[in-house]
Order: sequence, then C-alpha cells, then structure tokens
Amino acid sequence: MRITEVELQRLAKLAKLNLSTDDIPNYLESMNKLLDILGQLEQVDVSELVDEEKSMLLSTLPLREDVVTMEPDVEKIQRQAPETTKNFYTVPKVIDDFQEESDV
Amino acid sequence: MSDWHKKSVAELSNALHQGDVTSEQLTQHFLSRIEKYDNNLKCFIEVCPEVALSQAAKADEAFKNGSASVLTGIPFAHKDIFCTDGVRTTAGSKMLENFVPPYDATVTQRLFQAGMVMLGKANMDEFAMGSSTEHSYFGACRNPFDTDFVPGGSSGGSSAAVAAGLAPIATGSDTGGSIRQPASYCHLVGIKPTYGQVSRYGMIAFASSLDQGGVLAQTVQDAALMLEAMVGPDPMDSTTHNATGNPAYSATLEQGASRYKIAVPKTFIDAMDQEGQAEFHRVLQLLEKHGHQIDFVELNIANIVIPTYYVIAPAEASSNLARYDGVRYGYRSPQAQSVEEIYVKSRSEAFGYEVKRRILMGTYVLSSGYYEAFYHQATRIRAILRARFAEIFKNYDFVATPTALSSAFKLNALDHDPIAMYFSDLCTVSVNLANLPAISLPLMQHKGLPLGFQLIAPHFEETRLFQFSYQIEKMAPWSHILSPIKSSQ
Repeated sequence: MRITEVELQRLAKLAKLNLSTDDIPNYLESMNKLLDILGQLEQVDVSELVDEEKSMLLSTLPLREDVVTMEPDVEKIQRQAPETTKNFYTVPKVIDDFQEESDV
Repeated sequence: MSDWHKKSVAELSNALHQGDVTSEQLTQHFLSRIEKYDNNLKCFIEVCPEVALSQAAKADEAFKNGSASVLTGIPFAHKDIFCTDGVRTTAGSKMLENFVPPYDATVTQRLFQAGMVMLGKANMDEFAMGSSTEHSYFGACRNPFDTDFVPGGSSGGSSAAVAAGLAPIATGSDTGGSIRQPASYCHLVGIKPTYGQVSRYGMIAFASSLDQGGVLAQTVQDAALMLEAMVGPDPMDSTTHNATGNPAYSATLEQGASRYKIAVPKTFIDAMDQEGQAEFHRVLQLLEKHGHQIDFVELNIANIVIPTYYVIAPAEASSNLARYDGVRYGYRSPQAQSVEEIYVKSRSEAFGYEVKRRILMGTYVLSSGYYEAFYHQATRIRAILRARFAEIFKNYDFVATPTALSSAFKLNALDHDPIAMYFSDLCTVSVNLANLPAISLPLMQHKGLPLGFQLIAPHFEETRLFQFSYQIEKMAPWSHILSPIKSSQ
C-alpha cells in the first residue's frame, strides 16, 4: 500500500493540516516507507484470537454517580484562551454567506 | 565544592533528616549546577527557582516540626508532559509554548504532597513522539556521557538531567520506551510501571492506551521510593481502577527470591552486534552464577511489534491531538481569518514535522477503507501479544532483553531516515503493547557508552521487579562504571 500526493492532501485536510509544497516529497517518502513496514501486518495470522472481545483493552470500566463533582474556575481556565468574550471563546464568524462545503 | 549531586535520593534523604543539609541548600546546589551546565545540555525547558525555593522552604519547615517523610525536601526534574499549576507546561511543542496549566496533574500533586521540590520542567520530544529528544521545539538535549550523542527520548531531558547531576531523580513518561531507552542511553534506572498504576490525569496525552508515567533514577531504591509516591487509583483516571494503592516497594526490596526463572527471547539478542551480544551474555552469566535460571525462548514478535505499535500509537495520537485547534488554549495563528483557518493554520504552524507525520499516519490507518486492515488488525495482534507474554509468565518470573539494540546514536545521525529511528524502540514497544511493567538497569556498555538491560514482569508485579533489580544492583554495582560530567566536579 502506497499513498499518492492526492491521498496525502486528503489526509491533511481530514487532519486540518496544511502541508507546504517543499515538505510534501519528504512526507510521502517517509510515510510510504512506513506503510511498507505496516504492510507486514496483513500477513499476521490472527486466527488464534478466539474471543474478539479480548482484543479490547479493559474488561470493565468503573462507573460513578452522575453528579457534578467539580465547579470549574472559569476565569482561571480562560486565562489560557487566545480570545474570550465573557464566558465564551471568541472566533471569527462561522457562518459567512453561502460557502461550498469543502469535500472531504 | 560540595558533592550532593553524587548522592542518591536515599542518601540525600538521610542527610536532610539528620540535619546535615537543608532542602534550601540542596535546591540551591542543583539550581547552580543547572545554571552552570544546562546551556550546553538543554535538559530543561523551564527552570523554576522561585517555585523550587518556596517548596524547599516549606520542606525545611516540615523538618523543623517533625512532619517530614522520606521524600520531603528532595529536588527533582519533572518531565514537561505533566501539567503544573502556574508553571508553563509545553510538552516540548510550539503549540503549548505559552500554556500555563490551571491545574496540577495527579502525579504532580502526589509528588508535591510527598514534599518534593520541583527544579524545573524537563526537555522532551514534542508530544512525547521521538526517541532522541531531537524533536523538541526548544532544542535538542545532549547526552552527558558524550555531548555529540543523544540522551534518548522522549524523556531525554529527565534522563540527561539526572545523569549530569543536575537533579537527583526525575519523572518521565513511556509510551513505546520513552523512559527505559533514555535510561539505557544515560546509565540510569528507568521504570515504566504496569499500565494503570500511574494516573494519566494531567499528563498530556499521546497514546492513551499506551502512555504511562514513571521514574528515572540513579539507583533501584530511589526509583522505588519515588514510584510508590506516584502510583495508586485516581478517580480522575478511570484506567487506574486496578492500581495497587500504598505499595511498599522500598520497604520490601531485600525480600526477593533466591532463584528466579528468566526467559530470554532470542529474537532481540540476534539483532544486536557482536559486542552487544557479548555484553548481554555477560550479564546473563552473572545472573546464572548467582543461582538464577536462564532459558532462551521463542518469542517471534520482532517483525510485528514495530508495525503494530506504529499503527496504534499514531492512531491514538491523531485522535488526542485533534484537541489542539487554536480555539480554547495553545497556539492560535495570528494569520487566521476564518474558523477553518484557525484550525489549519494554528496546527500547521505549531506542530513539528514528526508530530504532523504521526497525525497523518494515524488519520490514514483510521480512515474509512483502511481501519479494518490496520487499526483493528493491530488491536488483534496486540491481544495475541499479551497472550504470548502471559503464556511465558506461566513458567517464568521475568522476561529479559536488552533495553535497546545498541547504545546512543549521534545527534542528527538519523535525520535523513526518520523511520530507522523507530527501530531503536524494538525491545521496548512490546512492553507497552502488552501493558506490562518493565525496568531498565544500567548494566552494560556498548561502543564506550551505556546500554541498559531490561527486565519485564507480569502485570502489577512491580514489587518482584524491584526486588530482583535490587539484588542485581548488589551483584554488579554500577556507579563506578562510566563517568559523565557530574563526576568532574
């Protein structure tokens, strides 16, 4: 399995990353090298795994009562924010006329 | 010039309790050494003298009023992956270059409650992705044994700091070997406990089913002292529900068995060069001489552990790092004009090359059409791996391997071939995949530099791991073997 530049750009879009043209050959080379190695996984015989559920990591997860256990210090938390308005995080307008949904 | 930096934590603790030194004096001693040597080594991203001295003063109060315990007043280096309230925490990344957490990680809380003194935040590969600490946004860390060489990674800053006598002990985190491999390269004890022993609350996430906090120390006893303060169930991390609370690792060190059965998978030794193999066999012979049983076993996993790990870890990383969107915290691109641009520009400008590569790989293996072949297949293989180890542990107390196939490599040596660096984790990743505890002991030399010996134990058998390690330390004390910069002062 190898990826092309088109597929790499698709992955970048999914991951919300913009790859510079200069870097693309490097990414392609190293990722394809890695994919060659990952290709070995297909050959591994997993038939000895009888119970699919055992491939899950945790057998149980502890539950707790659905009650509020902490009151967040909003001011302290929002000190780290790039931009805030009252208790909200400020960002540029999301809805802006009609824009083509980028195809993913 | 005093030599407090040549002392172990246990020795420092005695000195503090006997009044030979104050925590403030000790802290000043290490802070001066950091000021003197760290420009060249870059062990620290952030040094916090004010916090440290204030904590030292509190510790000295505790000694005065008799409430001090064994770790009170002991300085340490804290890997910059653990959140520290009011102290910048960067995970080695531009993305968090100015991030000051509003809370302490559980590990941070527990060590502060034990009275420890935080000298600073240790350098690391960005978001723990790396095996050399060359991928830190804040500059590469150097190996104190030879500054042309890497200290290992991702806990390279922690490792180099202890090896150079800039801190007597340090925290680290280990996802595929990031405590054990730097411990191996820097002649230290490095312990990664069973997954679930140390809370991951406030430990910046890389791969949530693999990450585990641990310790880099000079001696087995020191590692035991610090780890026992860190482990235990935490309601803020539901994966710790099986953790053993209040273990007495340091109190039971001398109660090990006189004869252990050790399984040694041939697959890893065969991959070493002649010098490495000779060294490894030398250690095995030492163990046999002391009455322990060594058996060579088949564990034909060497060709699948790296691909399995490099499916699961990047997949989980791509998911975990999706939170860095420039909106609520972390870097926001000044160029962003729209919400989409906030996401894309912030992430593209603030993530390093290795991080982006792993996010892309993770996105690929989780994407529609590939999920089954890669991620699901990898989780099945992981379960089989766990079963293989469990099978071995039915008849053996430990599995022993080299921690790495060779000693440290030179800085920039693997720049042109980043995938080659992944293979320096060959001996360590299987442990994370199987969620087992493992320790690296500084028993070997290779090409004039340190090389670690790894012991792997069954789940939650840290006590046994420490007991045998303590015995081995008595068989082959290691403080005399190699001399890094700390002994030149």
